[in-house]
Amino acid sequence: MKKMSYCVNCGVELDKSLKQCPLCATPVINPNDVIIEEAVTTYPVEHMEKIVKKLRLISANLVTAIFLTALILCPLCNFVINDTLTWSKYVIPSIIFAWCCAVPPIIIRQNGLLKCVLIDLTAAFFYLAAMNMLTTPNVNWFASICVPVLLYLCGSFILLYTLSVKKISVMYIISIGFVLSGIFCMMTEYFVRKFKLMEIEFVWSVPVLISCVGVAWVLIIISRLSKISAVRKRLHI
Amino acid sequence: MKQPKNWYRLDNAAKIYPAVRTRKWSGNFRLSLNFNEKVEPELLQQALDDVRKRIVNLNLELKPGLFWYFFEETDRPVPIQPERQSPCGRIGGVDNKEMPYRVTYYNNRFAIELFHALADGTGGLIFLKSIAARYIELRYGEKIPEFQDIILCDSEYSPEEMEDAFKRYAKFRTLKSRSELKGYHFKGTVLPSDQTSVITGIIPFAKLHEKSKEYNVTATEFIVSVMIKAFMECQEKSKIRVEKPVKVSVPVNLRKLYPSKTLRNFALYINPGIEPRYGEFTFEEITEEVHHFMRMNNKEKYLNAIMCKNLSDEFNPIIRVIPLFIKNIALFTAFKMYGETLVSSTFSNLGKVDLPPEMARHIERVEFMLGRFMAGMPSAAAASYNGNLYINWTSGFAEKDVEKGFFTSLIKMGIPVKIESNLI
Repeated sequence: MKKMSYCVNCGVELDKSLKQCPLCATPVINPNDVIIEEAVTTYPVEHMEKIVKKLRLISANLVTAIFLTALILCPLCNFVINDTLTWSKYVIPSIIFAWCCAVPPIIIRQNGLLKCVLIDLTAAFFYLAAMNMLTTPNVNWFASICVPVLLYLCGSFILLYTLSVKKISVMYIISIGFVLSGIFCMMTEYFVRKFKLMEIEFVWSVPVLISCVGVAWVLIIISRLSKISAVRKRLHI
Repeated sequence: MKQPKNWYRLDNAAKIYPAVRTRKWSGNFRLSLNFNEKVEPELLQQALDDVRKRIVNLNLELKPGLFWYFFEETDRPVPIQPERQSPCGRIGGVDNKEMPYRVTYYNNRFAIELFHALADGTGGLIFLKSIAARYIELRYGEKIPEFQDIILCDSEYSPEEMEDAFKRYAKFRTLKSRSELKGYHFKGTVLPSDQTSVITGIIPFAKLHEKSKEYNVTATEFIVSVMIKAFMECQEKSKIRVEKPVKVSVPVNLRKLYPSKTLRNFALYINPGIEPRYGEFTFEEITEEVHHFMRMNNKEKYLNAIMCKNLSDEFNPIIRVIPLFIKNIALFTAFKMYGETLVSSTFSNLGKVDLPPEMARHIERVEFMLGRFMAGMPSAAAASYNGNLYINWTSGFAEKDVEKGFFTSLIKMGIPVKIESNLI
């Protein structure tokens, strides 16, 4: 038999089904209750999460069905008309890549952003590799440009995500984002030039990097200023 | 030939409610009753269907006319529904093709949630008791005798049940102005308009009665005073620059003043309160103010003058010929400006609910609850049964400062309170 519980803060007696005081949100802890039993709630509890999860699954299935239809119909039409696979071999990896971008955000809820972006980047990795093989099998632009660029993007995203999880100021994260974008441009220019066997020099990417660093610097100053004004508020004469 | 359906004009108090509905909100209230045993849905459905054959109000659906809304009789089925976690949600579908009430069940409890245009609390209580009486007859095979206002299925229909009592009893000697200062409103995090938080306080009525006697006031006046105190404390904490009056609207059942048997709306409001700009009020002073205000205003002559003022607007020939859609806009604007802004809250007390012994032995408790205000302000409703007062606070705010202030004040006065809630 469950004993009566009282809110230690408000002094009211609480119904057995309550896990916290509805008035002050103080958790109910009754040391005399050795056996934890689920009491009948005063009102029905609607598990909205279950309904939402079901809805998400339905949406994901619907989107998958649409992509699957395209995946079957494209090669079929192509084969019927041309007796061989011509244009559809480019469509197939594109559809798979689009599916990888569209479906995970619908299903994944926990750490959704991190997981979805990593899935997207991995999908992009395979998609670009496939396109390289299908379009220009003799020229390996994938290994020369795409791999370092994708790895850099992946690393940058993980860095920014870790900073946001550690509750670093949003202004700082945006500033770092700008600097990383500037470096990204420089890196892209470097690998493109190297791939094209051109002389290694930075033409367009340097102004971009300087602008990005400038914006980041301004943002950091703004975020510092707000702190200065807070100090001034407390110390004004 | 197809029989023309009976139709009824909306009574004076009902006219505002259809106009101020939104897609997610309507002005509702709810009455519920707990049996000793689990409710059997099939029998409850049968009981409702049987009672509907006798009570005309339960067969009415709301329809728009060119100038006013009206009720029309219908034989549309009313399936009973399982209760929702947020009770008293909007009544009537978005297309208004639902009945202006619903009957719900959960474990031992069944409830009737009514759109206020259909009836007031007293009318709703009669519906609730009548359905319960028929349910007990079906479930336990006991014959329920005639008792007070319970309508038995084999009783005779009286046209007085459907009368517009406002029109019948208004004397039109004079009109009383409705002008009032705007009251203080609690502010907080507003919940979505289809969500209502309910906190039920179960209070031993004898203790409450004893305490109110110490202050020489009635139980209603005492509760209203505690409510005003809780709102005043919240206003003090909020540190607003100009303090506003804290007023609580108290519905007055006019059936106690006029011998009407109507099941439709027949209540008016009086708004006792405190003006904090005059200075600090002790609790004794608050109870005194509330007590004298209630005694002063709860008089037939004054209430009749308010009734006449309300009716005079309805009878105004210019207002009458304005098309309904324009009236709706005007009424909605007026409601936004004056409807909920005059008072800080509402306290509706149904009083002691009496049941014949044949019913009482199967029924554990009876509760009364107001739907949330459109703006979400916390409001309370109470009914006492079997030695307990069940006071239900409904609110559209996530913060529970008012409710906490109210219940902790009672605790400090030595009145024990047991709390239940739909917030798990």
